[in-house]
Amino acid sequence: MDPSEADLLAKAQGGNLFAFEEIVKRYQRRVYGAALRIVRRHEVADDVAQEAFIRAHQALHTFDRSRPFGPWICRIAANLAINHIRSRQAREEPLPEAHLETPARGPGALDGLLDGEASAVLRSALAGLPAEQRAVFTLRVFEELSYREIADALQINVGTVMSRLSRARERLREQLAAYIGPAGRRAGGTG
Amino acid sequence: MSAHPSPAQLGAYLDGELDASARAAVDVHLRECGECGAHLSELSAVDDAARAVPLDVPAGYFEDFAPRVRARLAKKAPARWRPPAWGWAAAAAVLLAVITPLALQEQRLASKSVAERAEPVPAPAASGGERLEQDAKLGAKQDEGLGWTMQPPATLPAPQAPAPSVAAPEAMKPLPESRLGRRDQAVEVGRDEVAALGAPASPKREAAPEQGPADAVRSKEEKLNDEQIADLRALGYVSRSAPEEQEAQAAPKAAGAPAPAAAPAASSQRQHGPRAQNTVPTETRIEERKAAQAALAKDKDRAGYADEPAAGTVTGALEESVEVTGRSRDVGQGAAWAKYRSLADGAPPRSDGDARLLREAWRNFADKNPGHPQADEARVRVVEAGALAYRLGHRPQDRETALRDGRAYLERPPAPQADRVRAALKTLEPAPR
Repeated sequence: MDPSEADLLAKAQGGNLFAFEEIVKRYQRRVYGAALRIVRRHEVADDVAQEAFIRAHQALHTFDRSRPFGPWICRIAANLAINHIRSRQAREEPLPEAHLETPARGPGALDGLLDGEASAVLRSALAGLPAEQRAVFTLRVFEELSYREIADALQINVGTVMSRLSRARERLREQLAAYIGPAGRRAGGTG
Repeated sequence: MSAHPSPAQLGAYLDGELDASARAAVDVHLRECGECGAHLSELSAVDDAARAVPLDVPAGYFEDFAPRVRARLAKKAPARWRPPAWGWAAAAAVLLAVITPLALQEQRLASKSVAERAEPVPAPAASGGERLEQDAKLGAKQDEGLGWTMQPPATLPAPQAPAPSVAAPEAMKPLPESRLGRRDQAVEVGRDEVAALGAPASPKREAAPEQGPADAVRSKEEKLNDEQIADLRALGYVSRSAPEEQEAQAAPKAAGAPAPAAAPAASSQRQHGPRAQNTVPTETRIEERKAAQAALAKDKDRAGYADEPAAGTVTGALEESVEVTGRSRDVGQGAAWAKYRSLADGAPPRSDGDARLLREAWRNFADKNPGHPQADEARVRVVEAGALAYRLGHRPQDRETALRDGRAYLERPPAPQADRVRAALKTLEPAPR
């Protein structure tokens, strides 16, 4: 039976690096994903994800084991990612030509939406969001953090979280209007 | 019909972030307003669409991710703040300057006792190069006087304790184990637990260099403080006290010694001063120690280190490359040199990720210190670290970055190290397909 997260965290807090490595394995995809959705570059997301775990390990003695580890490590990663995209280095680096995300494959409710042109539009719309809106959107939609948790993670107030998230959604909605709006629903026979 | 909720309110409704009364109000409105209902559905569809887009992760990326993190942690944990080589010499000079006045007191007492017993004591050499040697002996004798190592010779009475007003002996007592760094303890505990799990334990920390009898009984932290003082003084963080400044200026004249020997020469001069003069410099040095510690702590904080920086490691370099605190990096020239040394003396990168971090740390250094004497060297190192990142990871982006950095360097006159940069660029093979 796999050891529980609480057991691993207890051992890791005692200095056991192998226990911490196991925790890393459990959260690496989530942390990397959060970082990648914000910074948009694999090599930077890799650096950010590694550093997030390093920072978490350094602060592990302050972590309350009664709380879930996932949101905590994701907040650290998001903070690092945000600080990276605020840096001059990030502003000077063009995004890679290759698309960050690939369209979903296989049958599903959103297949029609994500086929071909719609998928390209969605990727473009996500990439085109201002970085700080993208960060809030990522933490809410992918990490499902509460507004309060997002505010704490990014050191902004809840009102700012609400407005950034709303702008991000509205922008995506406008750009995807042809696919998810009334016209899209009519074309797809969904509404 | 009530007023339409704002898009932000609709979003908060979707996220379950509205309080009960606001939520009830939106519920009522949605029953009556098809337009807002459609808007809400579209917002929900946006979220679903975004979640349906999978990440494009390089094949096999996660296979070695966790071991890489552990390797970085294992490498970082035992790293300690290391002074440069010249720091040891400076620390030795400071140590001699601190302990010599106390040794003099002991010597005087001993001489007095011997004189009372009508036994002739040879007079110490008064000048010339012999003073340095004599100071070294006095330094060793001081260790005896503080009761750190050897017992006093049987033929002489036991030395009296130093004057209570002198703070140095108390400050220089070996620190209790509990005052050692938390990281030290954590590493030790971690190694034991790893062993208990039957896994290969991380290698033990390197054995300390051979120490003299006095060093052997002093704590590591105590020694570090001396080194830090010397290092910080050399970096311009700590200024000399007025008496010491005078001594330093007088020393070359008195002893004919170069600047590094100033402290021993000055202590030699103090041999003939009254006791009161011996205590003042010692107290000022204690104050200086506190100032140095404060300066060091401030510098660490400014550099974003949570604890002792792993100077000379790539991990340390990341502190600069990823601005995680958002704090101002008002790094002075002395700190710039310290940063340069930490980057230049660091362990070579073992992974493409490390090389990439090092590359960005060098870039950061060059950007922040364009007028630094080593700025050109830093720009060259950006290219070299970038080329190394590509050779280690074969990622096309690294190759492009290295090529771009290399071209930027070569196009920047006068490019004094153009040959080195060209050599680095030659190592960039075409990206694998």
